[in-house]
Amino acid sequence: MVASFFGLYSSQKTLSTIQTTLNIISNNIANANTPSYSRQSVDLLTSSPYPQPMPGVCGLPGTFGTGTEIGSIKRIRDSFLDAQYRIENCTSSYYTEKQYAFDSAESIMNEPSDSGLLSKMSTFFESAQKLSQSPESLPARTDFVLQASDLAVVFNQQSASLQELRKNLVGEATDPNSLTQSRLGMGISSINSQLENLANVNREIITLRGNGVEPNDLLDQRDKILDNLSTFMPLTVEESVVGTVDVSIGNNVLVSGSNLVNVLKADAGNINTPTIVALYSPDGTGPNVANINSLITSGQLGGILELGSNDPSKVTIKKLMDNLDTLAQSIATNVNNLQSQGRYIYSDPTAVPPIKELRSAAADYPTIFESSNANPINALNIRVTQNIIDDPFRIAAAANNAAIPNTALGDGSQALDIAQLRDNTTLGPGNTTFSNFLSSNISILGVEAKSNNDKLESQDALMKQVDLRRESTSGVNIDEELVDLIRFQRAFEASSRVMSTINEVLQVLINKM
Amino acid sequence: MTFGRITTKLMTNRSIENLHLNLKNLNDLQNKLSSGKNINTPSDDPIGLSRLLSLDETMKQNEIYTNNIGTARSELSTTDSLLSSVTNIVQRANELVTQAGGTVDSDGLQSIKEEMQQLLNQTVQIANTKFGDKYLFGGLRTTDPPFVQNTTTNETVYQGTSAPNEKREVEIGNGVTISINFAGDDVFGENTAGPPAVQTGIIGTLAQTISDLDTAIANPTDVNRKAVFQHVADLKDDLDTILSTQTTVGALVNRLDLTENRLSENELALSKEYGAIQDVDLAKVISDLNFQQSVFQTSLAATSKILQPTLLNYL
Repeated sequence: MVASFFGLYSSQKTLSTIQTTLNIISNNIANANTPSYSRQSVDLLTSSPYPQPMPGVCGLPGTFGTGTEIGSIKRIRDSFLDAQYRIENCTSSYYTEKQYAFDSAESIMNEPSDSGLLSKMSTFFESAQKLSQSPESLPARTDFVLQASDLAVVFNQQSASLQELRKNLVGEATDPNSLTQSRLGMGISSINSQLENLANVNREIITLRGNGVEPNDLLDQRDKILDNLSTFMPLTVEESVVGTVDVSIGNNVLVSGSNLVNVLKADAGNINTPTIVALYSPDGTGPNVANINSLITSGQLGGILELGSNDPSKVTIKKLMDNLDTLAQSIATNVNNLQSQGRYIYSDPTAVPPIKELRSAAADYPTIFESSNANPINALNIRVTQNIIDDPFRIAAAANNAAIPNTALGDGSQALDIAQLRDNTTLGPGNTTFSNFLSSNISILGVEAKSNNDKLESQDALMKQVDLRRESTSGVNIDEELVDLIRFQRAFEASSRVMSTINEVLQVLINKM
Repeated sequence: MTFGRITTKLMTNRSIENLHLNLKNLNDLQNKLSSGKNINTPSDDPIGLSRLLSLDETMKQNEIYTNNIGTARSELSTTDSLLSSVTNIVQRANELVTQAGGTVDSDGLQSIKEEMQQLLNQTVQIANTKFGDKYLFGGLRTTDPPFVQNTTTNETVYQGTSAPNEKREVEIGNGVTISINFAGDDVFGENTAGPPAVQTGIIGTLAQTISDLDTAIANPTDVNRKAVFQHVADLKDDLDTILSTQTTVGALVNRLDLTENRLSENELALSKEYGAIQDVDLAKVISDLNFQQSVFQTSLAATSKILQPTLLNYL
């Protein structure tokens, strides 16, 4: 026999199940545009039948269903797609970061333009030509000095800007503040706070699971943290049996369950590798691992470390700077050589009679370019010697040829030699001219930047595709939810109708008998 | 790309992404159109850029050579017209010497001598001409007058640099230089008291003639007049020297003209190639731009149509 109110109870159970389902649908619709939200779905089960089927129970023909109940609330998520997304995202951020640096370097090099180094160099050699044609004239000499200073200034500016760019990426070993304020430093502090969040979320997940609740929203939050972390560097993510995730780089564990094991820190390196990323314990003791630079091969930090390094096989900022140094040094050495081998115009208007004659420059004014500090001449410190600026007649425009009398002030052959240095093919591994060396330096940057942009574009497309696929699985389709909404609304109406029917039946039974 | 399930956000995201892409293409085209350049940064076209830079370098170099040729040509044409004046002087001197060899009395000889003196002074003046800041005929010593004349003794000393150290070189091609000036002592000679006394060229001849005329004025015998007349032969030699220098000038100007022609032909070819790489093909870019604009507008319209309706509109 079945109890009289049996039907009422089972309807009531169904009504509350449907109400919960409606709540879930409402939550899905509300979060349709929430990033990294995974839609949730309700697993409906028929509730346990009455009576429990067992042999020899009263003479019922079968068991009665007792309505519906909620099995579980699941989030729809494909963890394979997550892993794939993180790999693609990591690579994509690597190229994005490199593009940022290449763009900056390109605008520093400022080519093709009329104010770039190439054009300054060609103006300088042109002024040497003019000097060779009018070595006795002050305007030609002043022009030469101006162009030489201009050239030096452009070298200084470009080199300083590249240095600044590199400092902005990886900092400078000699300046501890720059390490934390660099893009690398800021990336590291962001990683550290995310790792801490991850450990905390892991802890909450364990607690909720322990209480038998499925922590869907926390899982979403954790996936978001892992997505963010994948932007920075390649990490290994492993899910443990208790449902927490462990994160490590290489073989070095960063987060294990609810424990933050290691944090990253930027240590000062040297001029070649300004920053060394090391692993320390969260309380600051360590380093536990002294150098993980070689493990950070991808992601934003990978891009930063690569461009900030001095890896000879890669196009790095250091390489661009070194090439500028080589060029500045070579121009200075060659021009200075000719200066010291030539003769300048010595004049002494107070002597009686006034003297104006050619003298050997080797002893008096052997250089046109010099270094502004104690280091050998490079792009950053090259400048025109003060003596030459004070009196442009000190430029050795004349050859030091004993057969030519020292009254031959119109001799510009040494200046012509300076002008012809532009065709000098002694520079670099390929023995090229100054301008070829520089344009190949620019081309190397251009080729690398272009190939990087192309890779970035295809990588971005790949990443977006994976992301869309993920969205296709986990995202909310409002129409779908609305159909469900109507479906369950009707079910609710129907169940209510059943309940009132049973009520009427009971009324007949109770009142009319 | 096909998906099992299309969600609301997926559609929005894809629409936004496509709009971005269209906008980016539009922006690229507008950039090209407003700068007029195909290559704005090295990464736009690295291979094209390296060709562009080397073309640019060559074109600038050619411009320098062309400028040099211009300066050289005007210096040479000054030299040429100066030499022509000297030719006239020599011809006049020739006439005067011939007259002096005829039947001229003392007074006649005196006025011939005075005109001769003027011719000598003129010659020295021409030899001391400046072109810009430079004394043309001083060799490498361009800052002082090449000839110093003593107006009483007519001693005229050359103080510039002499061959082979007189050449001022101008570059007119890659590593190609030509010398565009002449040492004054080669062209005009000089007249020094010595020792040893040197009397060469037109200056030497004129000075000698004047001193022979002095003798003839003091004592107008046939012998003395003949001594004056004999300088006709010297004047012919001097004329030859000057004419041959003029021929050299002509040849140099010819060479400059040829080089300049070659340079300008070269320039034309280079700027054609430069333009082919760097100049935007306006017709193409504008039609691309129009096309891209309509694509963009269509995608905007499509997006606004697709994103609006949900089932709610029909419930």
